[in-house]
Amino acid sequence: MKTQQWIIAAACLLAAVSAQAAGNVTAGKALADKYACFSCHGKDFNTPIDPSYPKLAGQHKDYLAHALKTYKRGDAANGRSNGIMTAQVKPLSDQDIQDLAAYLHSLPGTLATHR
Amino acid sequence: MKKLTALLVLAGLAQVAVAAEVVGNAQNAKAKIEMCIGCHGIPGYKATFPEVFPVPMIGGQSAKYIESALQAYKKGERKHPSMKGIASSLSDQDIADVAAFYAQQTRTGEAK
Repeated sequence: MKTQQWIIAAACLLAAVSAQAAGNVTAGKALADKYACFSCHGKDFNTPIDPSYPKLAGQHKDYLAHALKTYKRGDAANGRSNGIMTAQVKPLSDQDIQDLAAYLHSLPGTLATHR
Repeated sequence: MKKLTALLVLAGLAQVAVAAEVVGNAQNAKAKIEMCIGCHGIPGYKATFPEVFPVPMIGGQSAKYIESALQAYKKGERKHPSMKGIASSLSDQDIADVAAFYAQQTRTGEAK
């Protein structure tokens, strides 16, 4: 009986962890609206207002999360410093980052991987 | 009068500087992308530090964004160690050529 309880507990924990890692598309859309990401990256996240800004629609989810974390690290090792993005990522929790990445990844995009 | 002439000469120099802005050439990039394709040309290729993540899709990004990202690695505004090493080895012309090359890629099209 004890073993069974442990297995159930472990399964629940695993489910919780993987749910967090996956990110929530609906929550991500709400965050993207709240922080007005579209005002630079474009309403469809594929037509940024300036060509020096990246297209985000359909980009790999874990890369998007990584990029947001690099702005959080800022000037520290493996960080990125950027006047706009440094301010934008400040209020974001790790869960927010996963949700935003899941949402942006879910959008139809035109990015490609070729040799 | 001398001041005016000096101003005109300066204005002329500024014009030349603007005209000499680096223009990327996708055809010239062919010999410069070996370092890129080892990671960005392999579907599903992952970097593992400090997070595990698939390297970004760069085909179809605008040339200006790719240029600004590479310049940011070169200047140290972006601190990814391997990208800093690669970007630092590229001239401004190399960066413009590589950016032009990846900007012309499409999701369905073959690399040109």
